[in-house]
Amino acid sequence: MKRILMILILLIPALASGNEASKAFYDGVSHYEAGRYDEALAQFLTIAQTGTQNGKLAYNIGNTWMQKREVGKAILWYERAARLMPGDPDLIFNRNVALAQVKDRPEERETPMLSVLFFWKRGIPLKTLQGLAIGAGLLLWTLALAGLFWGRPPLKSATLIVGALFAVLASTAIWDTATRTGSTRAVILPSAVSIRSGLSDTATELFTLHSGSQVSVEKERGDWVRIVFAEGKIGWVKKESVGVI
Amino acid sequence: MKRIFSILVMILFFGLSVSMVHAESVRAVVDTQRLRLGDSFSLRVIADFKGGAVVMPPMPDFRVSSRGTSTRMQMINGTTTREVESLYLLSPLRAGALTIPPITVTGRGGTWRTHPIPIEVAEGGTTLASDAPWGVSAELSTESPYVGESVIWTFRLQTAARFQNARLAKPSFEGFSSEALGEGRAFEQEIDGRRYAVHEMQELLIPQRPGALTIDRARLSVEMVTGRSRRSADPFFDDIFGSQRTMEPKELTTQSLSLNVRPLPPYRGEAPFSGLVGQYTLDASLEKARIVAGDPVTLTLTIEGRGNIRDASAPLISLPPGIKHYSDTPVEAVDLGPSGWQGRKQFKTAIVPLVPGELTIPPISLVWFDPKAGAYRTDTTEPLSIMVSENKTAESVELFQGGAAPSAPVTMQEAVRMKGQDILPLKVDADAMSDDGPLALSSFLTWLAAPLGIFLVVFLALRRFRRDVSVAESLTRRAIAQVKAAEKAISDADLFYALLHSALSLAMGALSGRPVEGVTGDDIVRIVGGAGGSDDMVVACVAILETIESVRYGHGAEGSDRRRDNVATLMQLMREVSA
Repeated sequence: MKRILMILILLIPALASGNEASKAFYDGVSHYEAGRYDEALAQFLTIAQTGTQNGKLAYNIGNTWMQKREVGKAILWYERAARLMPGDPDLIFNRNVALAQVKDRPEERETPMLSVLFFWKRGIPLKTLQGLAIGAGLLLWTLALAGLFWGRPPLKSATLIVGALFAVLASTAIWDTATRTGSTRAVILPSAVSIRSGLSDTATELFTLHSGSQVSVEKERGDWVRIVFAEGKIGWVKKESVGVI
Repeated sequence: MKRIFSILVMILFFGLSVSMVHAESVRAVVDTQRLRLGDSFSLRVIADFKGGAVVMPPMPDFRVSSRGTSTRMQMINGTTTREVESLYLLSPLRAGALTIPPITVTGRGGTWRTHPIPIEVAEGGTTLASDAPWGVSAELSTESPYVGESVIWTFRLQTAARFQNARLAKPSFEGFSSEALGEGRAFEQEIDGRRYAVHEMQELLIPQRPGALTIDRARLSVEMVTGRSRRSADPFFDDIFGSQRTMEPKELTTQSLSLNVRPLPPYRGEAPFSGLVGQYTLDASLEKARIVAGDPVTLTLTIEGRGNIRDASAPLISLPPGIKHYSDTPVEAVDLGPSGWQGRKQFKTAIVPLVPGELTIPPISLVWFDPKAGAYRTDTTEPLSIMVSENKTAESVELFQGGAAPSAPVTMQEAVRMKGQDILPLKVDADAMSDDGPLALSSFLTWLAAPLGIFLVVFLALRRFRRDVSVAESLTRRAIAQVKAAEKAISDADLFYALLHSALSLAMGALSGRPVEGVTGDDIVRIVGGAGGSDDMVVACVAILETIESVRYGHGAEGSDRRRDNVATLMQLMREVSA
C-alpha cells in the first residue's frame, strides 16, 4: 500500500506537466479559431520549447505563422513537421501553398546518387525507420538463436534474408539519425535579406534572398553564417536571418 | 698661386668624373645622371681586359636588368687595346638623390672597384614634357567606379623617335577581371609644334571587390633609335651596306594608379536585383497572340545594353497556375566595344496553356544598377495577352478512345482548378502534445545492440554447456565399448580384468563429468551415490573393483559366470548413465 502511494506521488508532476501541455495546446487551438494568432503562437511555442517534437504541433505552428503572413517562419515549421510526418497530406498541401509565395525560384541542384538509391525511404518518418531497424534486429538475432538450437537449413536462409534487411534498415536509420543531429538545411526568415561577401554589413552585397528560400548552412562564425543557395550562389548572412530546420 | 693651381686640378678631375668614373683599368659610365621617375638609363661597366666578372652590388633604389656584354678592339698609334663592356638598364624606384654604389670586377689576378655614381631623380614621369623625345603614360576612365562597373585602362607611348622591339609588361590588375580591348591603335599627334607617334593599348577592367585598389606600373622595354653610328661617315655607304643606326635600349615605366571601388548601395526594391551594372533595356515579345490549348508559344525576353551583360540571368516570370513552361538555353550576342561588353542576351521560354480563354502574362521586371546615376533602375514590360482557343481535335480523340456509344450522354471532364488559396485547418488530435521525435543516436544504437548482446550471452552459455555434455558423452561411449570388449574376452582372465577396470574407471568419469584416474571404493560410493545411483548398484560396483584388485594383486580368479555377472552389472550402470 505504501509502495503504491509512493508511485502515485512520483507520478503527480508528470501528470501535472501533461495537463499543462494539454491546456496550452487547446488554448492555442481556441485562440487560433478566434483569429488571435499571436496568443495561439505563444501557446504552441510554449509546448515546443519544452523539447517536445511532434509533427502535428509543428504543423499547427506553421499554420499560425501563415496566418500572420510570415512565410519564412511558416515554411521553417512546415519543414520541421515534414521530418516527423513526411507523408501527411494536410502538411503537403499547406507547405505547397506557402512555397508558392516564395519569391526566389529555387535553382536546380545535381541529384546526389544516394538520394536515388534510397528513394524507398521517402515518406517514411525517421522514427518509423528506427523502429523497423530495431524490429529487424530482434527478428534477426532470434532467428540466429533458433538456428543455434536447431541448425536447420530453411532457418539459416531466413536468417540471411532478415540479416540483409537489417543491414539496410539499420545503416539507413543510423545515417539519417546522425545527419539529422548536424542538420545544415535552413530557411530565410526576413522578407528580404542581403547575402554579402564578408562578415559585416558593409561587405559587398552579392545577391538578395527572400523569406522562405531554403539554403544550406556551411559554417558559422560569430553572429554570421555562410550559406549556399545554389551552385555559385554563396555568401554570408546574419545568423538571426535564417532558421535551421 | 699654388692654391689656385690645386683648385684648377680639382675642377678638371671632377669635371671629367661626372659621367666617366675610372678605377684604374675598370670604369662605370652612365648616359645621364638627371632623370625623372619612370625613365630609365643605361650603365656600362667597362674593363680593359678579357674575362673579367662583374659583381653587381645590391641596389634597392633601382630595378636592374642586364642587356649583355660586348668586346671592342681599338688600334691607336700602333697600340692595340681591348675593352669588355657589360651593359645594364637601370630604372629608379623612387625620386631623390640616389647613388649607384661601387661595382666590383674580378679578373686578371685582381679585384677592381668602380667609383660610386650619384643620380638625381625628379618626381613625375607620366606626362610627357614638351621637350622629351619619348614617354609613356597610363590612365583610367574613372577613379571611383562601383563594383561590377566597366573601367577602361589606357596605356600610351608617345615618341618622336623611331623604335623597335617594343615589349609591354602589363600590370597584374589584381582585384579586377581584365580583358584586352582590341589590338591597340597608332596615330600621330602634334605637341608644341613637334609631331609624335602615339601608340595606344586599352584593357577592360571590372572591379570584383570594393575598397582601395592599386594598379601597378606598366613597363615598356624598347630600343630607341638615337642616331647614326660613326662607322660610316658617308650616307652613300649606309645606303649600300645598310643603315648603321645606333639603338639605345630603354625601359619606360608608367605611374601606378589608385582607385576607390565603391560597393553597390543596399537594394530595397520589390522586384529582385539582377546583379547587372551598366545601362540596360528589357523587351518581351510573344511569337503569336492566338493559339490552341496544348500548343506551345514562345515568350522571348531580350536584355540589351552595356556592362556586365554576360552575367545576366533570365528575369523572373510569374505565370498563372495551370500553365506549363520550358526554358531554352539563352542566346548571347555580346561583343567588346570601346566602353566594355555590349550587346544583347535573349531568353526564350516555351509556354503551353492547357485551358482555353485569355491568358495574360503579367509585367516582367529587370532591376539593374546604373553607375552613372548611382541608383538602381527598373525596366518593366507591358502585360502580354494570348487568346487560347479550345483544342477540338484532342477532345474528339479522347471521346473515340473512351469507347462510348454515340447516342450515350457524354459528360465533359475538366481538370479541377483551384479557385482560392488558403491553408487547411489545425490538427487538434490529443497526440499532438506527445513527444514523437525519433530516438537520439546513442539510444538508437543501444536498442540495436541489445538483442545482439542477448544473443552473444546465450551463445556462449550454450557453448559451455555443450562442452560439458560432450565430455560425459565421450566417456560413456568409451566405457560401453570397453565393457563390450571385456565381454568378448571373458576367456582371457588378464585381458578381461584389465578391460573391466578400464570400463569401471570410464563409467565413473562419465558419471562425474570428467576423467577419473585410480578409482577407489570411496570414489565409487561418492560418484555413483552423487549421481543418484541405487545402493545395490554402489555395492555391486565396489564389489567389481574389489574383485579386479584381488585378481590383479592376489592372483585369485572367478568363474565365467561370475565374470558375465560383472559385465552385466557394468552394462546396467552404463545404461543408467546414458539414460
